[in-house]
Amino acid sequence: MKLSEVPAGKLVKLSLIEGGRGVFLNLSRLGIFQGDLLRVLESAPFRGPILIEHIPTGAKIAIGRGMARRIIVEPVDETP
Amino acid sequence: MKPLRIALAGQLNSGKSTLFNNLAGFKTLSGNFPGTTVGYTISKTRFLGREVELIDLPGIYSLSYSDIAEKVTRDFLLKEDIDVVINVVDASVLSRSLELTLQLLELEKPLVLCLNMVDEARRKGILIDEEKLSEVLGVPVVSTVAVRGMGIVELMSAALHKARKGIIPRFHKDIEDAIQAVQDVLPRDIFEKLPFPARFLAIRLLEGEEEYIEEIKKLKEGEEILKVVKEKAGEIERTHGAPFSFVLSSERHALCLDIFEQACKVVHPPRERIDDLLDRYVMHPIAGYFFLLIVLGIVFLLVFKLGNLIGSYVLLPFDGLTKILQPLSQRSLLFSLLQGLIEGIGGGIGIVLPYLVPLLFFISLLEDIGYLPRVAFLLDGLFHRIGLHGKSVIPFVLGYGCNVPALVATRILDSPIDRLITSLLVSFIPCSARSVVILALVGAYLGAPFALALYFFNLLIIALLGKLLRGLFPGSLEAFIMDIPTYKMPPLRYIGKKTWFRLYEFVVFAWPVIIFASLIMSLLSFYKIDNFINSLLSPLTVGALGLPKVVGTTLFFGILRKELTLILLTNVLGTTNIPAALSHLQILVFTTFVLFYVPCVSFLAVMWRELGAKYTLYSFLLSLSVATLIASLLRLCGTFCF
Repeated sequence: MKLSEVPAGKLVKLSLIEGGRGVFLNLSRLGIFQGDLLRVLESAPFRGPILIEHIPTGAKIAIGRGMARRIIVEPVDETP
Repeated sequence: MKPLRIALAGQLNSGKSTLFNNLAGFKTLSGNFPGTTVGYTISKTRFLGREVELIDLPGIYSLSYSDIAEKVTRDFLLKEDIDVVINVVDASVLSRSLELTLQLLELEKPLVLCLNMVDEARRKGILIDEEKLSEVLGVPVVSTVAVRGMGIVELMSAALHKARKGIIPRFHKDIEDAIQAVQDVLPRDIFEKLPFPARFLAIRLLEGEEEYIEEIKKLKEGEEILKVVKEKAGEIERTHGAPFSFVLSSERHALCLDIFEQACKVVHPPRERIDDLLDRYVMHPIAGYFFLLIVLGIVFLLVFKLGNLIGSYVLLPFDGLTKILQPLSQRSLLFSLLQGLIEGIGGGIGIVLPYLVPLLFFISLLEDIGYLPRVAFLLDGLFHRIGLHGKSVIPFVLGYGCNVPALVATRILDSPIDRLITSLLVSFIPCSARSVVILALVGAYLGAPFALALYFFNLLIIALLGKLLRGLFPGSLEAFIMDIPTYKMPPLRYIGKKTWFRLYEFVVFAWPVIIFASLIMSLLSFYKIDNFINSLLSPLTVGALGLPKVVGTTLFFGILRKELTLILLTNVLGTTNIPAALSHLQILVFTTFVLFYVPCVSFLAVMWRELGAKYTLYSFLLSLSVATLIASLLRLCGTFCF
């Protein structure tokens, strides 16, 4: 599923970055790569950005909806 | 002995400017949001008996640049003669920060790693083994908390005595082979001209960076070199299934994670962090907006009340003096000039400073706490509707302090069109000088609700203009991605220094202009030259806006500094009791015009530098026509309502 469709609170794994060099560069500059775990924290209204926690660094990052649509993620099972 | 040149380089919001200010005295603005520094600042100072030249470079995420700040930093690091690079990293996001560190090592310059904000890292449960990290990277590692001045001496001593070139990270064999192959075909003599290491150049070429490819094309063996580059990059692309630059980024990322694992231990914090708890409300889709309104409301009220309180005490003696001089000034030039002088000085102390001090204080506080990127998050969606980018929020908020740094801060926008539109709109944000006019005229005589309404009205107009401009300059909005930093409570002393740094600009540059203009004004009115300017402007002032003819000169001089409109207004009206000379509607119309027309000459000068003459003229004409239109409409509506 797309990152833009993930409900708040869910943990996901980044499986694919679509959209070529631009999106990849933008994400990699902030240390986000394929295979990283992300938790969606908040989703701003008015089709605003999505707030994620990048689990490997613990950094909080806001990602615009347009970019979030090009990030493909898979849900991660959190039940112990 | 030649001073030692030390450059501070690091990712955005890693605290370089804070460190710089701690080392060099307060010389540059810092804030808890990414991208505060867009140009570089140089300062000479002495450390441990050695003369040092410190350079604060703009924050960058990597050396493969994509925006202006990255280009500034990279060009500086490559082309300038630097003795030591201090790589400032935010220890709380170490694994990410290391990506730049690895690239800096490739520059093969003496390096020191400064682990800043180690207190924050510890709170997050990240324990860093400095010695191990130093061993892996081959450079000295020093922990600091720049905002509290901790570890500064150790850092400087390491920079002076222990900086080393470090161990260059090695990638997987196939990539190393490709880099080596390119390095082998590069002629030795080009490095006499190009100031960087062969390995660095080989990597950039393989990544396909235009700037370097152009450089190689100029060589006689250029074609041959580029053939090898293309072949090797192609090989990697085929075997890895991704372009070379992607593969390299991923390799570097893997190296960083590996180094992080070797040198750090992560122990999970026992309870939920206050940050997360706060953000659940501050960034909440509904509560977040209420919180924003409350914060802005409190700041507005505090600035207004504090300003009124201080102003009422300070202005009294000056008022008394002016009253005594008033009758004398008509007869003698000396008294006339004296009155101008007192009005200039008194206006600075009594009218401007009381509002300016609290306003600048709160802006500095808001910046450093780390609230602004959260506001950008909340407003991005709304901003898109008016054709703007969420990142534009930061120049906008800075604009409430002063439009000039806000204009410079538009550099954080990568797309030229976004930048142009934001720059044009920033000029309409009421800067502290205009806020002083709003608070001291509309606030004081019509009441705080009117002043607040004027701020909202201003935002509404900006939104409409944004939509209009986006229609005129179409272009797709770039993608939004922004680091949301952790909250920090900077020591009050630091905020105080920052406020003073901003105030200093007013005291040293603006105040003399105000006093000087006030003197000129007295001179003009003594020789009755002001009548000429007033008559010239009367179609606007009297005809369109319905104001007394005498305000013409105030608006004319207001282009120098917006505070002048207010100070000269008391001057030309001959009283600080404005309502005796102007009706409420006139006060409102005057203030509205002042709010919207040309920010000031400094703004125009900087706009010229940043965007060129054409757009500066656009901005000038746009603001003048918007101001005239809105203020005259307001006058028409007001005549019916009041």
